[in-house]
Amino acid sequence: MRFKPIWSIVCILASTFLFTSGCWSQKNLEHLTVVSGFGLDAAPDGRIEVTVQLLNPTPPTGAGGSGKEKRPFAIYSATDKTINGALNLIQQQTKKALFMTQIRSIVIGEKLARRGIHDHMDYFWRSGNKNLTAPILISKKSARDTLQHAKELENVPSDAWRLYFSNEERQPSSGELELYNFIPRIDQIGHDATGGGIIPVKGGNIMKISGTAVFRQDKMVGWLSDKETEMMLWIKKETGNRTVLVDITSDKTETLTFRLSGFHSRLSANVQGNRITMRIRLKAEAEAVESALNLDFTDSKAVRRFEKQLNGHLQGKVQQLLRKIYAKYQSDIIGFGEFIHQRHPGQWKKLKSDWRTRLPQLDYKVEVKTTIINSGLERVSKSQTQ
Amino acid sequence: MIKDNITGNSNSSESEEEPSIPFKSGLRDNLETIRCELGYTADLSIREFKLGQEAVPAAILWINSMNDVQSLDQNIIAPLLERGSRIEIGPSVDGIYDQLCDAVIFSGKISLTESLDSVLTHLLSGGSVVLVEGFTGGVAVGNTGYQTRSILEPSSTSVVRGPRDGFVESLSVNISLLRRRIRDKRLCVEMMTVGSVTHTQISLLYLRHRAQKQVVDEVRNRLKKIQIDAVLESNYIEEIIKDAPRSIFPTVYVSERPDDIAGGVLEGRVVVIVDGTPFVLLLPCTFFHLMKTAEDYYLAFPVATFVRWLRLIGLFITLLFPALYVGILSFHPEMVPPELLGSILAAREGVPFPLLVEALLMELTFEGLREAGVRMPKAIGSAISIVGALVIGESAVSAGIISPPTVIVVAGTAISSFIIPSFELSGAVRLLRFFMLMFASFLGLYGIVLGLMLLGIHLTTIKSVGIPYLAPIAPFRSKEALKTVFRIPWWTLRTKKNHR
Repeated sequence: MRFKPIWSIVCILASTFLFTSGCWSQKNLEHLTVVSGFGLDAAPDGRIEVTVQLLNPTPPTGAGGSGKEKRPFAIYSATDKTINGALNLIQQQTKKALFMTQIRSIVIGEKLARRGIHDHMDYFWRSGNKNLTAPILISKKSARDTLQHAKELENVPSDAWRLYFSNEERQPSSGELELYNFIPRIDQIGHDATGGGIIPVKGGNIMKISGTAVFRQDKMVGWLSDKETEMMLWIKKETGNRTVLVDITSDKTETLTFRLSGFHSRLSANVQGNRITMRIRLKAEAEAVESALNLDFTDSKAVRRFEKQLNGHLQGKVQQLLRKIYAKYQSDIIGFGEFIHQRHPGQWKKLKSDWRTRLPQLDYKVEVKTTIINSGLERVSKSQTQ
Repeated sequence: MIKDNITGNSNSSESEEEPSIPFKSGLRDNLETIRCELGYTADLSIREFKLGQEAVPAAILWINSMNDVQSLDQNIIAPLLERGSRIEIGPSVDGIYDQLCDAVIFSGKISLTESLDSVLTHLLSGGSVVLVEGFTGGVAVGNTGYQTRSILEPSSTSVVRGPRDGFVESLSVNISLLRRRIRDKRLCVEMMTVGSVTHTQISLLYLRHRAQKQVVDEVRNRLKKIQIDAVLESNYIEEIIKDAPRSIFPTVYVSERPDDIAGGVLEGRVVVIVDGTPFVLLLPCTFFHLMKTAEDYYLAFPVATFVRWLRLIGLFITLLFPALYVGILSFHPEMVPPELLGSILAAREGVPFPLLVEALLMELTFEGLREAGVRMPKAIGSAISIVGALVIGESAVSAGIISPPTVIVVAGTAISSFIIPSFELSGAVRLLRFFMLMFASFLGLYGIVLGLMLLGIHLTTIKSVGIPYLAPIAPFRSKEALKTVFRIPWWTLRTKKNHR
C-alpha cells in the first residue's frame, strides 16, 4: 500500500490535538477539598463571616483507615465584605480549592437572617460552584458555632442534617427550603421564603431541627413553632405521606391525641375589589392514638362528636397561624399571592404593586374536615367493660 | 500480491512457474527424476518388485510416516505380489493400470496420475504411487495416514452443558465432525488447495438450500483469489478474505466447537475449514453473532436471555469503565455521590500518580499478567497468579502506589472482558478501551460520547460478505432483532411448520 500524504496530515493534527489540548476544565482531585457544610454569619459593619465545614477524608475503618484519630471534619472561617472575598481568604488557609457542589447543608445565623441576606445571595445566583439541592437552615446560635460544635451520630454534622431531610418518616415540623427554591423566593412578591430552624436543645451542643424561620423578602421576621409548621405544610400540601400528632385537650391532666394522615388541602381565592377572601379547605384522616379518658369509639355518635371537636380545634389553630403569619409577620410564606397570580392573573396585576400592605387585611375562611378512622380497632372502652 | 516477504522473494521463481516434468518410459529414469526432484530426501521409500509373468520391473513409492503402513502392506504390497505375478502384460498393453485398479489393489482411494508433478504432490500429501516400467503415468493410492490428535474438549471454549468434542488439526476429521451433526444430502463440501509451498487443503462447507448463492460465490471467489506461499493457521485465510481488513473488529467468526459451527451452517452461513488447525471459520459474521454462544441454545431460554444481556453489559463495562472512572473524576467530580467521593479522596491520599497514569499503569499490568498467563507452562502458572494477586494488587495498594478504587475498576474491567464470548471481539474491545480512556482523559464525558460516536460510525460502515455488521439492529429488522436481544424458545421457531 502506498503511503498517502493525507495520513501524515492526520498524524500531525492528532499530535497537535494531544499536545495543545491542555485538558480543558479538568479538575485535579489532589487540589480539591470537599465542602460539606456552609455557614453564613453577620459580622460588624455589614460584613459577613463565612464558615466552611470541610470533609476530612478518612477511609472507612474496614479499609484500615482509623490508625490514628483524625477529626472527620475541619472548620475554617473568614470575614469579608462579600462571600467571594471571604472564600478567597479561606482558600488561603486551606491551600486547596473549595469544592462546593456537594454542600449538604447551608446554615445561616439568625442574626444575619434578620439583618437581611439579599446582597449576599447574589453569590449563589452567579457562582457555578454550588449545590442547588442543599437545604437552608436558620440557626439560633451563630452558624459557625452550630457547624463547629454540633454533636450528631454521623461523623460530619451537615451529613446528618441532610440525611434527616431525606427521611420520609420524620415529622413535618421544619420549614426548610432547598437552595433552588430559597433564592428566587427572596425576591418574589407573592411567595416568601422560609428556612428550617436548627435550634440547640438545653444541653447546648445537641441540635434539633424544628420550626420555621419566616422571611419577609430577604429579612427574617420571626419563628413558627413546630406545631405551627405542621399546619403550614398541611396548607401548602407539603406534608407528603407523613403523619402529625394533635392533642385536642387543653387540660394538662387529660390527653386525647390523634394521629393525622392522608392530608388534603384546597385553596380558592375570591377577589372583589379590595376585599380578598382566601378559602382554605383542609381534609385529613385521624386515628386516636393515646387517651387518658374513658372513650367509646364504637359508638358512631360519639365518633361524630369527636370529629367535630377535632375539627373545631384544628380550625382554631389554623386561624391562629394565619393571623400570626399574615398580620403579625406580614409575610406570605404560604404563597397566596402566587396562588392568585396563577388563578386570577388579570387581578394579580392590580394587586401586585401593594400586595405586601394588603397582607394584614386578608380574610380567611377555614374549613377543616377530619374523619376518624380505625375506630373499630380501639379496645372496648372501660365504661363498657365495667 | 499478498505474500510473505521473507520467503516470497526466494521461492516465487522456483516453485510457481516451473514447467511440468513429463514421464519417461524407463522406470529407472522416472525414479531418478523423482529422487532428484525431492532432493534425495531420506524419508522417501521405494519398494521395487516384478509384475506379471513377464516380470516387468515396477516400484511402489511412499514417504515414511505420512503413509498408513498397515494399509500399504495389506492393500497394496500384498495383492500386488500375490496377484500381480498372475496378470498378463504385453509390453504394448495400455490397460495395465486399469487392470491394477480394477483387480489388484484393494484401496478405496485410487486414481491415475498423468505427470510426475502430480506424482510428487501425491507423495507429499501422504499417498503412495505405483509405477511400472515402460508405461507413462502411474497409480496413485490415497492411503494417507499420519498421527493426528484425538478429539478432545476444546481448550479455548468450554461449556457446562453441551457436546464436548472439538475440532482437531485434521481436515477430514473436522469435516466428519460436521457431517455427523448435519446428515443432509444438501450439505456441500468443496475442496481446494492453497499455498504455493504448503499446499494446504481447505474446504468450503454450506447447506445448499439455506446458504445464499451470492454469499457462497463470493466466499469461493475470495478463496480462489488467494495467492500465498504458506497457510499454517486459519487466520492466514481469515485475514485475506475478511471484509474491512483494516478494522480491528473481527468480521469472520472463529470457533473450535463443531456444534457452534454446525449451528452457523444451519443458519445458512458458509464454513471454511483449513487443514492443520482446529479453528474453523464461519462467514458472514455480525457483531451480535459474536456476542452469542452455542450454549445459549442449550440453556433454558430465560436464563440464556439473561446471560446474553449480561454479556452486552460486560461489553460496555470493558469498553467504558476505566474511561468513565477517569473522565468523571477528573472532569465532573460533582457527579459522584458525596459518600463515594469522600472515600475515593481518602483512598487517593498519598498516591503519587495522576488518575490517568494510575489507570493506564494498572490496565497495562493486567494485560501483561493475562499475556503471561497464556504463555506460561501450567506448572508455573500458579506463580503468576500469586505474583499478580498478592504482589501487584495487595502490595501496590498498601504501599500507596495505587489507590484501591483503581484496582477495583481494573479488576471489574478484567472480569467483564472475559464475559465477552468471542476472543477476537474481546481483544478489539480491550484495545478500544485504551482509546476511550485517552478520549475521557482529554475531554471528560464529552470525549467518551465523541469516542462512542466515532465507534458507532465505524461499526455501521463495516459489512461482512454483504451483511451489515450491526444487523439486525442497524438496519433494523424487528423479527430478527427480537431473536438477537432475547433467546427465543425453540417451540416458537424451527418447528415443522416453519421449516422443512
